[in-house]
Amino acid sequence: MEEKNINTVEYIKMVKESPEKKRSYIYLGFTILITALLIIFALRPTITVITRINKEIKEKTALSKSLETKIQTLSTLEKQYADSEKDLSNLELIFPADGNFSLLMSNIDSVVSRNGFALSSINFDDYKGELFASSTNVLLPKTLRMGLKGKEINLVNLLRDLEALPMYPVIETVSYSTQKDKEDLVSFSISLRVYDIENDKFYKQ
Amino acid sequence: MLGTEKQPKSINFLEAVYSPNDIWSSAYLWLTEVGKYLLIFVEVVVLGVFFSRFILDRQNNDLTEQVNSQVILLSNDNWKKNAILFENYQNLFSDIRKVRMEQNINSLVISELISGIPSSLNLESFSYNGNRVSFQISASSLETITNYETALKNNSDYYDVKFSINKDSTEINVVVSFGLISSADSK
Repeated sequence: MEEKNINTVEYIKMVKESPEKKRSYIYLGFTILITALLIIFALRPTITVITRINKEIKEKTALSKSLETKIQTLSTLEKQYADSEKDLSNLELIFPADGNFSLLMSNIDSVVSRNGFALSSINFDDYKGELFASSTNVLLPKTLRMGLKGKEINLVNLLRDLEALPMYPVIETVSYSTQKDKEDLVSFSISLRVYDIENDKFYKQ
Repeated sequence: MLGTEKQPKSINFLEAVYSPNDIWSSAYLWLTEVGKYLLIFVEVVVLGVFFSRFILDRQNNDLTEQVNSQVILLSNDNWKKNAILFENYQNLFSDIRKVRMEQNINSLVISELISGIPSSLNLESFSYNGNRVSFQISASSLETITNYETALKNNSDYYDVKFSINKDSTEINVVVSFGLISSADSK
């Protein structure tokens, strides 16, 4: 009976701490280790390479598309520019890039005389007013001051005509006294805000 | 003496039929049972990647060539100049639009100011300075001036209305000044 008892305990011990069980643990551990090594040294680099190439392809596709769009846009603009080059050349006179306000001057001269005024002085200056609040990229305001003689009754029409010019000038200041000179005319002082471009190569690239 | 040792007479069902005891045999067993599948799987993936790289690399190279040719085309001096010129025009058009839409037409304001002075008052001098107006008027009766002052002070477009009255022997001289609330401010 005693021998039988010892054998049972030994069998249980054998089941619990059998070398087979230990071996299966080692087997599993080794498998996990090898799997991890393969993942780290074989699969990861190849997947990384594929991901990198895919990313490069995506970036290059986007870049190529944007370049293609740019080329198409430029081609279209070239055609449009060729069609309306004459009209666009007028812009150079309306918003001069070289400080040449010849069109504005001739327009002012005709507007002034049409309204029965005589131009006594005119000068340009840098804009120092506070009324210009637009955030323009290329157009810069300038001040045009005029001394005029004429009749008070024509003043409003003159101001309207001046603001209707294609240069989009704005009346900044007006001052006058109703005292008349020998010719029965009143002296007016008007300042206008006009625009020019401070880049003499703006229209000529 | 070999093989003559007495073996214990027992049948152990817990022992595996074949269970190698040395490390090389265990490694061989592992390699044939599990390792080969792992290696096959990895090889399949690596081969797949290897062949897919042919396609992806070709695609990548084609795109590189395409981008390079586009860049060369755009680097052309004529195209460069045109690109700058068209950008300038685009900025100019945008500015013209801003100026046209955003700026106030002051001739209308001045017209309203001058025409708003009652005919019974004589305008002596007038000064408009963007957002501030001052003028000198003369009148024979104080009532007309008071009415005009009330009208100006009740006008919501004007603020800080000031009247400075000087009475002469024959007429009353008034200096009027006030600020204009621009349409942009009132918004």
